[in-house]
Formats: sequence, structure tokens, C-alpha cells
Amino acid sequence: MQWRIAAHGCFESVAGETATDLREPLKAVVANRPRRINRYTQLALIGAHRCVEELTSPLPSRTPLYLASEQGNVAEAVSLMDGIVRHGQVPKPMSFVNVSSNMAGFYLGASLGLSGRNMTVARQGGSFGAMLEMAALDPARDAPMLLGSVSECVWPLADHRQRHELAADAELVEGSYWLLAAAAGDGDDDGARLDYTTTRDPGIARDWLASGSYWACDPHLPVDARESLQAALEPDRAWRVPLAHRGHPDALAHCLFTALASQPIPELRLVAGDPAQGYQLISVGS
Amino acid sequence: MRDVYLAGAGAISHPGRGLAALESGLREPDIRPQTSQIREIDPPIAVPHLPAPNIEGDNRPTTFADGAVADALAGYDAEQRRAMPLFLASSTIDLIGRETPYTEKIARGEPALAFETPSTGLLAARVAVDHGVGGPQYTINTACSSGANALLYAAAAIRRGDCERALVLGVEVPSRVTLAGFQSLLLASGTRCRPFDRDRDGLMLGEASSAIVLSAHDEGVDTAGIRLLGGASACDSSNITHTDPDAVAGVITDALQDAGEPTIDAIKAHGTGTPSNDAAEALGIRRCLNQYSLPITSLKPALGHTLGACGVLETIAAAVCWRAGFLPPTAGFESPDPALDLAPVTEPTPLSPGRMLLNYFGFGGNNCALVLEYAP
Repeated sequence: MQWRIAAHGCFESVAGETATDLREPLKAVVANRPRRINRYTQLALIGAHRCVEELTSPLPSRTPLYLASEQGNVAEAVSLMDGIVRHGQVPKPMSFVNVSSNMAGFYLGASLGLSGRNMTVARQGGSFGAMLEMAALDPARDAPMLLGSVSECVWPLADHRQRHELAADAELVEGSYWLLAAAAGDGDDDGARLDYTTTRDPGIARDWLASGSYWACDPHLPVDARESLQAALEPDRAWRVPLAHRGHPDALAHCLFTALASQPIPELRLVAGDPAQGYQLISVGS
Repeated sequence: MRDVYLAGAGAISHPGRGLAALESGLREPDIRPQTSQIREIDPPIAVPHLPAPNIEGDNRPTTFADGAVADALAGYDAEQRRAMPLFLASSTIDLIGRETPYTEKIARGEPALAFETPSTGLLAARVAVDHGVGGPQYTINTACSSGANALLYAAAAIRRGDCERALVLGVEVPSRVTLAGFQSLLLASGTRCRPFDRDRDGLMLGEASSAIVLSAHDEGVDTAGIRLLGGASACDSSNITHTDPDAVAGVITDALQDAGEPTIDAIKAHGTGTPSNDAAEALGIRRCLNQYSLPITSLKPALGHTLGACGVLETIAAAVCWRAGFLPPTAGFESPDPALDLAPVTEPTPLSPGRMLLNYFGFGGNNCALVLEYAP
């Protein structure tokens, strides 16, 4: 499946010991900011609005929206559970409503005036690819659709690191990455492109990686699978993965977006997924 | 374009385990609400709901999913299972599986961390491994339309030729968070669910695991003869907790168009029993179908509102009853609401082969409508 990228935008923040205030970056891109939204939705709004802010006309109202998230709206879920179990509180109505991961899509759709499909999808170790596969089944795939991935941190960070089995000093990152992309047609070769396919054959994945200009392996791949893929690849063509640890659930999206932000856009080939469900082969280029 | 048929199915819900229990529980509803006390909240609150029977095992979402999936896949060999993708639909996924041990640790005064392994796709991965389902996995969360959306995407994968069959699983087990959350929204009835009734006062949560195989061929099992003609999904971003009649009419119109503009013979409403959603659904149906003689029902009084699982459970339930020749009654409906001009059936109503519209709406404006055809 090949996608043509009409626009892209993202927001990333290295987590400090206290949560960064997102109101200013949100205010910078969203004119009518919804009230009583949680951090997960704030992240989604900032990244997606950065993606579309330079468009010269509003998105068509039926533009579909797909959101991938490896761990969902976990901070709100932790807060609700702790509220009941530790503090004996009845959930606040809006906290309960907003805990569902699809609410980020609702607020985003509302802020952009969208009424098309609005899907939230996850896959263990491969949510970004699962989202691309779902979007490819959308009847409106030939027109641009919003495709995004969001991950948030939960404070205190010591707990968050424990959840992800990370070292006490591991760097943690939040991110929100969005593409406005349409399924590419024959002869449609304007602008940046994203190609996506899957294979269960590690040899095919390895050869595919080796034949690109740059390569990267998702740090979430099982260690033995990743080492096997990387063994014969040229280190000097490895794409820099500065946040390549398990504290960054969207390391894959980070790599794609750093490539898309480069001029000219290099051909980056990236492998994610897992040997059991299949390797996801994702490339960007122009 | 390839056809998509309903095939092997399994269901565990308030009426019991299996399709026979589901059919009899809808023909003659035996509604036995259970009230859960949430003692951790000060003062404790009590929330009635419709539980499913106990299944042996230490983790309710996993054992529930296992039961329904085992029943749905009983007729499929290892090779067929390996080729199936898995679409898992749920609002809360395995929240209860995390909440219970966490609560127990807190009660014992032990160190505890909420959401020790926060991966939304974990339940689907476990189910796939345990049942040999080898295709790609998708965990879909669009609140109460999750199951219906999962059916739409599984059907699209079959139509495109990606696979011959797909397994769609809906799982929902009420947790403290869910029960207390709906109570806090004042959407939970304290007595019973009465969709479209003048005196309706809210929903009653249910518990379910339901699984169905969609196939490119009529396989002659469980839900044989029933085809998923088409459907549509859209987001109404006007209100986060309830939809409006125009949005309902819009998604139904789109679904009918996708299905080839068939004549509809019956409607399985979403019918939650909440005042605003039932009003929006009734008015939306009138706007686009304008055929008041259509028999219509809601299954939620008998099954409970099974949130993200209801799309799968209620589609299986409608199919099973249709094959048995009837549209199930809307238990508890007594007094028509003059503002709605819609009265669901109150007795098992003979239903011939034909086409049925099935509505599913969720928080966050996620609306979905499906069209089934029964042609034995």
C-alpha cells in the first residue's frame, strides 16, 4: 500500500519530573480550545493541528480520522482507578467520559469540523502499522485522511518507568505524530510518499532494509529479531534513533517524522512489528 | 465484490453460554439484575447490572474471551485459524483484569501500581496465541460502536480479498470504574432498562464475550444464511455523550446506500433506554425510513448494555433469533412515548427472511449502522 502525504506535523516533548504545561502549544495552533480535556487529547490536538495548519482550505467534513495508540489513555485510567480504589471517590463525569481513547478523536473531529469515520486502533508492538492497515480498508482512502499516533507519560515518572520496565534514569518522551495522506493512485507521484507492507519472512525484511538509503529498526522489536535484522546492515546508513528505548512508544513514528522533516526527504526504510504477526515494512521518501 | 457471511459464533452473556441460551433468553427474557456494591467508594454505592454466568478461570476478560472464541472456532481447523485476522472490540478491554488485583493489593496494604503493563493490544495478542489465530490483530475502541465497527472492517478485509475469514470478538466486563462512571453520569437506571418507553430512566450495564467468524462463503454453521450486506460509520462531533437525529439519519442513510438500497424489514435499535439517545434514535429512524410499520426492537433489556461488545453480541443475537423465525421482544416496554412515535415489539414477533437494519452508537459520537440479509 502506498500513501501520498499531503501534510505532516508532530509534537514531541521529553518528560521532566513535572508534567510540561501544554496550554501554550495548544493555544498556538487551536483557536477554539475545548474545555475539560485531558493531556492525551491535548497532545492529539497539538500534533494534528500542526499537521493541517498550513493548508489553504479547511479539511472536507467527511475526512476520516485514524488514531493509533499503543497504550491508550493510560493517565486518565490510572487517575480514575486510583480515585476509586485509593481515595474512595466517585469518578468525575467528564473524567469517566474522557478515559476512552476514542475521545481524542472526538475532540479533534469537533475542532476540525469533521464527521467522517473516527477510529482508534491498537496492536501489541505495532499500532502504527495496524492503523495504516485499517485506513487502507476505508472506502474514502483515495482522498486525504488524518492518520495519527499519540503517546503520553504518566506522572510520577518513577511509576511510568516501572510500568515500562525501564531504568530509573531512562529518558521518557511524549509524542503526537500526524499525517494527512491519501492512498496513491497510478502515476500519482507528487510529494512525499509512505509505503507499507508486511512480511513474515525475516530474510525479505532484511534484504528490503539493506536496499534502502537509510534503515532503522523499531526498538520495540524483540531483541533477537532486531539483532538478526541488523546483523548484516551497514551501520553508517543507520537512521539516528535518539529516543530508541522502550520509554518512547512511538519511536517508529519519531523516525518517520524526522525523515519527513529533512530536506530533501531521504529514503528511510523501517521495520517494526514482530515475527509472530509479521514484520511491518514502512518507508518514506519523495 | 465478494459477499460476506456470518458463520461460526459463540456468546456468553446474561442469558448464559451458547447460541441456544441466547435465543431462549431473548424469546422469553429472564432478567436477573445483580447489584454490585463498590465498597471502596465512601460512602459505598450500589449499581445494578446484568452479569453473565461464571466461567472458571482467574481472569474474567481472558476466560470470557476464551469461552466465546472456542465456541466460534469449534468448526475450524488449525490452518483455517492461522489464516484469520482478529478484530477485537471493547470499551474497557481488560480493565477489570487490572483493577481486581490492584484493589486486592491495596486492601492488603501491599505496594501496588495501577496498569502495570499498559498495552491496549495485549488481550488480542493473548487470545490469538491461545486459539491459534495467526492473522493480524486489531484492537478497536470506539466506545459502544466498537463491535459494529470491527465487523465493518473485518468485512472490508474479506471483500478486498485479504482473507477468506476473519474472527471478530467483542468483550466487555463491567469494572468498578465502569459501574461507578455510568452512575456518576446519571445514565444508569436503578431498576431496569426500558428503551423507548415514556418512563425510561437509563441503561443497565451487561457483561458479555461474543465472537463470530465472518466468511466469504456461506458455511452452513451457527448463523448460516445471513449475509452482511453493508454498513457505515461516522462521527457526530456535536455532543460527546449523545448523538442527534440528523447524525442518526445520516449514518443509516449511508449504510443503506452501502448495502445497495435494500428494503428494510425490521430494525434492531441501539435502544439504550437513556432519554436523550432513544429520542435521537427514534427521530433519526423516522427521518430516513419514515416507515412506522417496521417491527423494531432493542435487545438491551435482556442482555444489558454490553458497551464495546454489543456490536458483536447483538448482531449474533439478532441473527440467531432471525434464523429461529422471530424478532425478540423489547422487554420492559410498557408505555409509548408520544414524543417518539415509536413502539418496539413486546412479544416474539414472527420474522421472515429479508433485510434488517442494526444500529450502534457510542460515546464520542461514534455511530455505526449495519444491514444484514437473511436468505436461507
